[in-house]
Amino acid sequence: MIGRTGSRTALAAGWALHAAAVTAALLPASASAHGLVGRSDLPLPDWLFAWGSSIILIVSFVGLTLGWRTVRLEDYDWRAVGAGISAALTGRPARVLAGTIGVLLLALVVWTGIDGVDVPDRNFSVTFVFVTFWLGFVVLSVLFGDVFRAFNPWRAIAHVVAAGFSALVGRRQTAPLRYPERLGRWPAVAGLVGFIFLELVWGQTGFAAAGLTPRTLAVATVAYSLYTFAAMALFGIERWIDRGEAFSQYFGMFASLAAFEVRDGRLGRRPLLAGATTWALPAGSLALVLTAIGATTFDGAQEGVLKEPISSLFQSFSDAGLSPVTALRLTNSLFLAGTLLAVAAIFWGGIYGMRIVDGRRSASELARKFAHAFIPIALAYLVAHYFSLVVYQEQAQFTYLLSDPFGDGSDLFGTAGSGIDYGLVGATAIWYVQFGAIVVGHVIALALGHDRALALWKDSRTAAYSQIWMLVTMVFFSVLGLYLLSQANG
Amino acid sequence: MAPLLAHAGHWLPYVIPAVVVLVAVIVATIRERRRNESQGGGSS
Repeated sequence: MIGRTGSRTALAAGWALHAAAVTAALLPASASAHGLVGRSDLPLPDWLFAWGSSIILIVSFVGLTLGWRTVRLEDYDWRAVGAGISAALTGRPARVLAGTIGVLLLALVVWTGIDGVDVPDRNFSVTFVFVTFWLGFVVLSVLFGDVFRAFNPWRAIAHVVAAGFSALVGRRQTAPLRYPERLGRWPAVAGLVGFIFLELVWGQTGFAAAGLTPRTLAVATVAYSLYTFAAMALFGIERWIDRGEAFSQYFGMFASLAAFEVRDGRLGRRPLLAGATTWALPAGSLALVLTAIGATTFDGAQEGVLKEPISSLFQSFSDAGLSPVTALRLTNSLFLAGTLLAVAAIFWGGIYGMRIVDGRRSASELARKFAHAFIPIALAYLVAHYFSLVVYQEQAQFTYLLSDPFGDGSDLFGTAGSGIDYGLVGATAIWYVQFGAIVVGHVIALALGHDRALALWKDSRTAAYSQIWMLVTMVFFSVLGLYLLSQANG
Repeated sequence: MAPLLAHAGHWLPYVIPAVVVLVAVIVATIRERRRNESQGGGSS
């Protein structure tokens, strides 16, 4: 266990490293915060793990082809749980409680961001938004379903305001505009890209004095809140939540894998993964899942394989006369865009391969049909890349950042003097968790694709031949994921 | 390009399984397509 000062130094460096590799070399403690840890005691060279994952995927593909011969996940059954349990978890008191918690946390983020010390590692807001909220709700969604809907602070506030306004004018208000269905999830994709930009490009530190401060985060939070309220007022609260609100759609994507689903206010169970089969129907769903994969890929690549190219381009921009901050943000914007395009290229490579097998279906139709199979890859990348970050930073979140949220020396819960125990999970254990997440995520992705292929082609031979292209895509993504981790860890 | 080649020792072992699977799948796809065409059941 390191002391509070030491842990805070490490946490600060964790944020710097979260965005810039140069800082990593200077602040090794932060490396631990982001899972950038050596693995000198591994029994095998790390590239052999990539071979191992490829072999596991090939064996899984053969196993699925031979043993999974009927459609199992499409048109799934939903069964309501007991009325008492459902009422306790989704009834009005539970919804009011969850909404209140969400609103209070939103208020705390803005308040600490504006009034607290403007230092990321000593302020509650930055760790809360980028670790506890951003990663924590993914875990909760996969385990319990769409829980963010209940905690969504913008939804809670909007419903209270709408109810108050309706009571005032004496009639229920309807949305003045109809949401254009062709927009689908594209506004959510734009919101997601904006959040990623804030975290990975705007929040860069290292080459220059750029950086995401708590104050900037608070301003961004207020701006996003105003944008969300305006959209809800125009298109309706639930309509915007169901299509355009970025975090609802992002967490909802992972929730589609869960075994729990609320229908008409009643909690029920469904087969694990089955919810994903209907998730990708709205336009923009494919872009959402590929953006999620691309963001994690870029974050990982920034710390390893792209470190030198980023440094080189940054230098070129600086030499051309741009200020260091502008040069850094422009460099990272270009590399982020390039990474998103590269991820999309791998996906479309698999889709066009499938089209060789069955040219009657268009590439865009196949892309829509198989987009949901990539949700487990987005999850696998998240778990693999951020596991150690969560393990370490949550110790800070629930000890000194909770006790001293403004960073002004207060000690509300008596834990302000605590620190981060970097020995909690060893480097080797972290690597095995990363490897396991990558392998399991890609095997599940294969299973989702296989089930969809059976539903689409009926003929199991054509289905199998179409899915060998899914296998190629999965091998590419798994190898890429492990390579990025090995470079970031190295 | 030079940095890429300089680090080939790092990335080449990772690329090998992906390339092997890709080549195998391309061969399998071509064979399946020829089989379909010879049976008059070409799908495209």
